[in-house]
Amino acid sequence: MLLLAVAGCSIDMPPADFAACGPVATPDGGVTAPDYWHDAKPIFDAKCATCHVDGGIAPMPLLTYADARDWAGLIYSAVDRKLMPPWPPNDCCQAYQHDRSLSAADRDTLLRWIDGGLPEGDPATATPSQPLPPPQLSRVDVTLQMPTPYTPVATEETSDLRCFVVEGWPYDEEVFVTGFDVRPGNAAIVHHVIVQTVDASAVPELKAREGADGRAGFDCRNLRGELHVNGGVGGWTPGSVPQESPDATLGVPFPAKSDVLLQIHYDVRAGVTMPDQTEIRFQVAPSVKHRMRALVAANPLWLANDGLEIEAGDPDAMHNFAYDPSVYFSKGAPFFLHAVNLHMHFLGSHGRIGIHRADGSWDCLLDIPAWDYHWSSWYQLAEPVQFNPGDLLYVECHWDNTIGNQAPVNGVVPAPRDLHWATAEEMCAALGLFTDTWP
Amino acid sequence: MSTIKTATTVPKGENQVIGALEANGGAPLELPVKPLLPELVVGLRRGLTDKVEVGGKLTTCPAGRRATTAGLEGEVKVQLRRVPGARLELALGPAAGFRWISAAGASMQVSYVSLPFLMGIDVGRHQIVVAPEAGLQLWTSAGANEVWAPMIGLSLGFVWRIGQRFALVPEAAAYRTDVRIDYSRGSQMFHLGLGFLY
Repeated sequence: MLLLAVAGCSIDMPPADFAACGPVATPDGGVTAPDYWHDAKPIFDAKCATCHVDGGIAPMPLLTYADARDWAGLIYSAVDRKLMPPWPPNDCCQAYQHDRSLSAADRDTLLRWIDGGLPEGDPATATPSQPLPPPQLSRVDVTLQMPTPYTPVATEETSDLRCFVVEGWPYDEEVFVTGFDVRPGNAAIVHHVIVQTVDASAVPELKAREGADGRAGFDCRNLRGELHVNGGVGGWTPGSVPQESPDATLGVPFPAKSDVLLQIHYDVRAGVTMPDQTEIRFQVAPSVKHRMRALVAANPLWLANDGLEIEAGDPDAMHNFAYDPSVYFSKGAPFFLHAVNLHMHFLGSHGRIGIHRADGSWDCLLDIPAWDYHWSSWYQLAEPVQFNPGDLLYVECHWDNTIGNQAPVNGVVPAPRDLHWATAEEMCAALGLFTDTWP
Repeated sequence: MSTIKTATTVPKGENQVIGALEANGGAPLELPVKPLLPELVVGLRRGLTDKVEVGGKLTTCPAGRRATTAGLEGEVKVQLRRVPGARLELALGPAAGFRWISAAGASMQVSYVSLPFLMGIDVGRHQIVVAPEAGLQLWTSAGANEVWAPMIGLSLGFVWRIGQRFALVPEAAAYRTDVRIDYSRGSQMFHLGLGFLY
């Protein structure tokens, strides 16, 4: 008995080389005098143009020579300090689709181009570029929006978790969501969006809850089974980009005779009370080759009282957890991970997700050495990773709960306080999207 | 928490073998479905005096990687009232135990003390056992902080004597704790069991 107890008292942690880079080639200087058209433009197009377009989330476009020239000073600083393009994962952990990061060679080219006086070069020598997918779905089949704008209010927890029934799903039969794009109506206050499905027969009961407090939607902080959720479609956190599998290889089932339930957490700590009317765009297919589902890794004890305690003033509070999700999610069979997401809130400092293989080896899935809540995206793996029964999915979160890492509330930096698992405090979870079969 | 309850101590110098098939579980108040984990229990009680018995139990749920438990409990029972001819018997049954729970490669430990106040109402040879109970549990798991769970609850059982020494003990109990799970207002714990005494 004692041995059993002791065996449960620690979690194996990844080795020091968990996400370490192998030998890295030092840029050899490349072309002697890079110019815009031949050398810099392909990098801007591939790594910057997703956001730096007219109407994009970035403050200015970087599509032309004039754009790049006018902002060269800022570009140099951001590239040199690796602040841009924003790409939090450790490059040496795993390969991802839509990787925005600059290679050492690309970074060297841009810096030398600016150092060299911003030569424009000859458009005839332009290197064909392959920009990232545009920040929108290639085809939109269904667009749903919150029925009316909602203006959140600050609760005593300075957060507002609100649910909205969004009717109008046009399909009665089961279909598969192959593309998914959440458009927050007010990105300044939308902390996360969870898109779930509810049985249509439960919609009248849910609609009856709406407006009970004189506002749109209903407070769903204390609701569980009362929500009648019968499936999850996807979620959005800051930094998320549209996801799609246009060839209908992958899709999330949307059950027959169901409607959409949005759960939105509004962060109103800054005192912003502007309205939000979030919109979701879907791409659907009648069938897909592989059904995609979601899994989560978090210690259930973290959700209970002080189970996840982050003490005030602690510069590196850490919690970790490992378990075998195949037991519950794939009936003990192997499965294939396609995307991962690490979820913490504002005080996170770093974290990682990995697989501790049954043979004792480790595979890194995601390593975020400098956590930025505003870029807590889903990361689509370049190649699906097979998870075998007996392996353990590992998640590790670190927080800095010192005064220097506090997020302002209504413009005032609060004193650190003990934090626990709560929507308005902190969380730690690894999320994954997986299929039972592949390829 | 303590189970297979009776309000009658084992006579001095005698042993009593106990066992049960139980289902135990807990969940936030708001969760409509309360998951229960089946467990097997075996144990022994011995009368030290005519009014004091001691005992111990081993519990297990050998459900493989979905859930495996192993538990150990020590208990004492002190007879407070037993009057020949009277139908009401009273006893205190403090117990302390430890349970190791493993599921899907992760584990959790529960250490606990409990103090049931055992009220036995004799019905012929049989006994209805009503037991209000207070307890304190400590939940621990690697990578998480400890969680203390003070509990109060009530159990209802029936000691159905069959023959001279054998008895079946169907039993149900519910407990309430202030442990909040995420946004819940508290949690409940449940126990269903079919025990035997010999």
